[in-house]
Amino acid sequence: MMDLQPPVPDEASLAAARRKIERAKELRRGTEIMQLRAATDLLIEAADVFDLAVLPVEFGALHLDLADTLSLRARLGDPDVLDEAIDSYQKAIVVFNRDEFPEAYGRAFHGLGLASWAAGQLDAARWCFESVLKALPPDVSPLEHGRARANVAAVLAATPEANARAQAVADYEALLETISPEAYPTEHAEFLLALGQTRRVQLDGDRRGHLELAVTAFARSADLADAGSRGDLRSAALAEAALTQVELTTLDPARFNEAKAAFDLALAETPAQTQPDRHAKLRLGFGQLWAGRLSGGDEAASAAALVHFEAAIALAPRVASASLVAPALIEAPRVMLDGPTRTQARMARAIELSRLALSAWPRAQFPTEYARVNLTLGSALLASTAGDRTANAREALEAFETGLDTINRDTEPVAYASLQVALAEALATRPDGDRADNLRRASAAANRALAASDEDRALVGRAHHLLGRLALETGAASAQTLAEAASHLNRALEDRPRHAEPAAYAETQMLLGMVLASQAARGERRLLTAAIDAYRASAAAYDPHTHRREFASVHFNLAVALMQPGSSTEALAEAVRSFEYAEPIFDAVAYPQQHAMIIGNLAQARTRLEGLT
Amino acid sequence: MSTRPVDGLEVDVAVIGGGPAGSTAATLLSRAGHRVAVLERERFPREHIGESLLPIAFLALDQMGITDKVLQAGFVRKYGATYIWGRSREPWTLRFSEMIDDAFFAFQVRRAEFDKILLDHSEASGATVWEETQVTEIAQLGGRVTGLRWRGPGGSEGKLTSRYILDCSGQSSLLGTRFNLREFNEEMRHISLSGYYRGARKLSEVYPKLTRNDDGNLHIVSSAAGWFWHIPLADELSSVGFVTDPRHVRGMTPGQRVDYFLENVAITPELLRLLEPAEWVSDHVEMDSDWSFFCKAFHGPGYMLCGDAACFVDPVLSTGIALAMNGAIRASLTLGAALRRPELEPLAMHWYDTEYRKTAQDFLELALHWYHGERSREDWFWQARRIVDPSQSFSLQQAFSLIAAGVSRSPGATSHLKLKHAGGFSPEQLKVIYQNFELELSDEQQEELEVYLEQERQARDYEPVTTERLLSGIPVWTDGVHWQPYMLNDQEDVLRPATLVEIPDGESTKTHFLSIAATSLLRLLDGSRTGQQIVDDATETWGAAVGKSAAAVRTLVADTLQELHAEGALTVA
Repeated sequence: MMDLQPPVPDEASLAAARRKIERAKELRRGTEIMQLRAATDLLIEAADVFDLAVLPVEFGALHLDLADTLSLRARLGDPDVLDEAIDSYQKAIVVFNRDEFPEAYGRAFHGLGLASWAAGQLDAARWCFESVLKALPPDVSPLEHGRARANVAAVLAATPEANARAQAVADYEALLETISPEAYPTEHAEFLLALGQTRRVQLDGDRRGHLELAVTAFARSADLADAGSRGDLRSAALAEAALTQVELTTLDPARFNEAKAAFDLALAETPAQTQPDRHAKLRLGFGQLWAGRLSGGDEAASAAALVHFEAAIALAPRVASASLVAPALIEAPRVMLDGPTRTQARMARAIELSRLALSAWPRAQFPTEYARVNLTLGSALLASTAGDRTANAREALEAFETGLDTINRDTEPVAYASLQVALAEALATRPDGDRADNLRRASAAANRALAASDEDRALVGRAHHLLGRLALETGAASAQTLAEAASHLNRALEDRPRHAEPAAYAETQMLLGMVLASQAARGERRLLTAAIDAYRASAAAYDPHTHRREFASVHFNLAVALMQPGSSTEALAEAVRSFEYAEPIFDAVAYPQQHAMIIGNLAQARTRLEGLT
Repeated sequence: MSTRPVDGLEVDVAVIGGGPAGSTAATLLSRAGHRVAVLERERFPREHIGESLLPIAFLALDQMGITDKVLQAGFVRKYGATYIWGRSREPWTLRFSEMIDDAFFAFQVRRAEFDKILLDHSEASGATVWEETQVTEIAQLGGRVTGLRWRGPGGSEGKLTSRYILDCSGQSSLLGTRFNLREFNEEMRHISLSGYYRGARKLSEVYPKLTRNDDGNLHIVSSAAGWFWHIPLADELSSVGFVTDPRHVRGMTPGQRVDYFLENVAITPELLRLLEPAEWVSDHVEMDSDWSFFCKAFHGPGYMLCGDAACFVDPVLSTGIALAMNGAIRASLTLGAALRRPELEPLAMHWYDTEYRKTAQDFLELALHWYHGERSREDWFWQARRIVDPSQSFSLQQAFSLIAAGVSRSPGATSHLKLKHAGGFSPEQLKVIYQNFELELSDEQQEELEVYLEQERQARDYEPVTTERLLSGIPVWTDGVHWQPYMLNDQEDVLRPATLVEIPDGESTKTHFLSIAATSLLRLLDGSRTGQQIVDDATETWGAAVGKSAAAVRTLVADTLQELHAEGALTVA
């Protein structure tokens, strides 16, 4: 037989390599990433000396150390080294078998399980943790056995398969039977925490029930931890309970106060000074809880949400990873845009935060988020009244187009359609460039949005509204384009009902009234009644406090329509009332032209009414 | 149905040649999830000699998942071989059933059809197959093969990048020639002339002792100037070949070769009786070199050789395809291990070379013996028994049948045998395999293993030495013991690193496997340290690094020494 006996390294090389391993061990004691990188370099240098076929145990031991170091680095901010960690664990596993080296075998499989999990290889992670479990000696303590079982359950909980997740719940429950609260209070509390987290990811069946059971488990865990004087564990359990309440509240808004109380309690037990990471997560969650109440136009909710998001953002320099607070950079500007009060200060802050978010959510890794941030940035720029309007509009268009370049139409059609509608609206109001070209491009973008998705009704309504408006603008003289505009606006009204979006509904009704009035003026007299109805619906939907100008405009239009020749006494009386609504809003100082028109028309209406009565 | 070659393709393994070695390796590697491209010079189907398979080919066919397809192809079933060799012109027949069971058979195949089935299956298994594509250049970087250049149909050219090249180019041995690896065996320099007859008599019609079941047998008949093969194929066709000294045909025109071939048929009465009613249907005789050679190495940096490209023995035992396909199984195991874990490449390549070479040399030894003069049938049986069965647990006839079936150190050959004939593994090896490598045994197998181990213990009458004695004394290797890091193919598709200990056992050598980690311990076993000093050194060097206390290292060292002592590999001074 030919022989394979690679030469054994000389003593000097071996000694030098062993010194490097010792030095690396010292460097690995901390969690300072620079030191861990230095330790990695030393171990890689030492690895040249230990060949698998020459000194296999040393080879395996070195790769175990290297793998642990790389794995730690991956957790602390060097994600790119995760694959190398996995490779090194596998090298160690080649050497260490279960019977002869149970300790190294268990360490290698445990490490590989964690690294595989971090790399998203859940099946591999599960297999590794199961291998660790199988390798435990028969006389192992219940606690050690329990921890090994818990790792398997944790991976099951993270898998997408519903059956596996349900199995994880069953495993944790069985585990809690073994690790009693009397004998192992702290560990019982830890496993309760894990059970709660696992219940929280159960998607099949009664979602609300799962979440409620999760909250119960967290509460029991917090109580037990309190009894065991484990403040950190209690804080974790309270935080999980509060964060779970966010979704529970979306399912059952009546729970809002309970959720708010959970956050207040968790925040009180989680000082930002000592636990910045968890505090930031809670602030973020609390902000989301408040943001969930925005649909009712609740300014207090908007303000509260922003307070918490800003508090989370303020912790960015102190949290372990800025990614913890990065969601707030997306969510806060959205609240500023969607909230009832769009002050210039808020728009300026929304622009500032969105620009930060573009760095926090790099395009390559987070295309969806990156596109979403561009949508927000563009919208905030358009809503901003500060600076050069033309420049703002140009930057907004660039943001929307960047978002569209980033996102995949087929996999994220709604987000794609949102960006197209935003782009269309921006083009429709663009102050510079060739107007006709802008309108043509706007129309094309709105049509692309409709072709991409009809999932979001509000978005479909916006697109049709815009197409109606564009038809009115581009083809005002044509009966065909007016009919087309009316069709789009009627379609828009189906998707933006008054109860859901009163202002948007009112806007579309007003526009529809204008189209119908134009059609009536071109001979289709019967449509005047429909136009008046549309104006009335619009006027009724507008809030005169939040949409004063629009409210005044629609009343003016309504009044003019009502004053057509042959109008009845009731119609003229209504016209007078509408002029009277509009008159104080379009006052003589701010709107001299409009004011003069209203005054003139009002006088005429009154005269005609007096004549009739 | 191959695809047109594409310039710039990158694969894990480029296989040169689409014959049985290439297609077997390509299929197995593709099924294991590797990216494979096969470059075949010709367009299939194409004629080729080497039509007689051995039963061990089923091992490869099973692993490729193609057994049913081959069974359905209607090839002639071969249940054994009938020989007329030596002074006695009395025919003698061996049947594979003598070793295994009545259902044990092989095939006589038309290579055009058989090779195409295999290559099509490679493509269906995920390999890229380019026919009419010739390799024109081998690319190297820093001494390592990194790819090749090719010329395809219509003169198209391009390059292909691969992590490994597997040369299955047949006797032309593209890489063997390129790297000057081939070493020819002057003793085995033959040439074959062959062609086809239609309508030959059946063996059972000519030899009264044979039954219809023997009609598919390979028939070997020695003659004055060499020997003939007669292989019955489907559709009444027979392949007839004449193996002779190349000097006899030197300078002949193709027409003269036909005359020479037919003249020799005419003076070989046993063959003539078979072929009397048959019609010669070939328009020429095919002449092939049967010059035995072995490459000095079956692998190099970034490449491996397999099948006839690695070595060619001789047609007399019909071992060509068996060697090729079983070599391909080993090659795919080796490449699979190296692709999965690059640090295993040196060990795996070494394993491949050693194991494949041993198998081929076994066949060569028997073939040499075969040619060496006028020996009796029993003599050949003895030779086969020495090669295949050093522990001498088989009868002479069984041993010969075994080697004739191709079961000589074939990977996984044991799957066809009962556990107690587990391919020559010692009881302790079996223990390592089943216990250390976590194989699940059925209760029946477990019971059989226990009985076997107990019998072996009793047979050896072994008395364990105490741990205290092992540790206080100096363990010394027994004379002739040799150990090295190696690979172990204990499961069908897995090659694992291990430590191989070879222990003299009478006239032969027995092998014993330890885990690969044991290599670190065995290095300390230098005849100067006591067992305790080995414990101390190991504890100091790596004990803490692998989480072992001094007591745990002590147990590990004592167990390893005990195991080696029990095997007779060491004594304690």
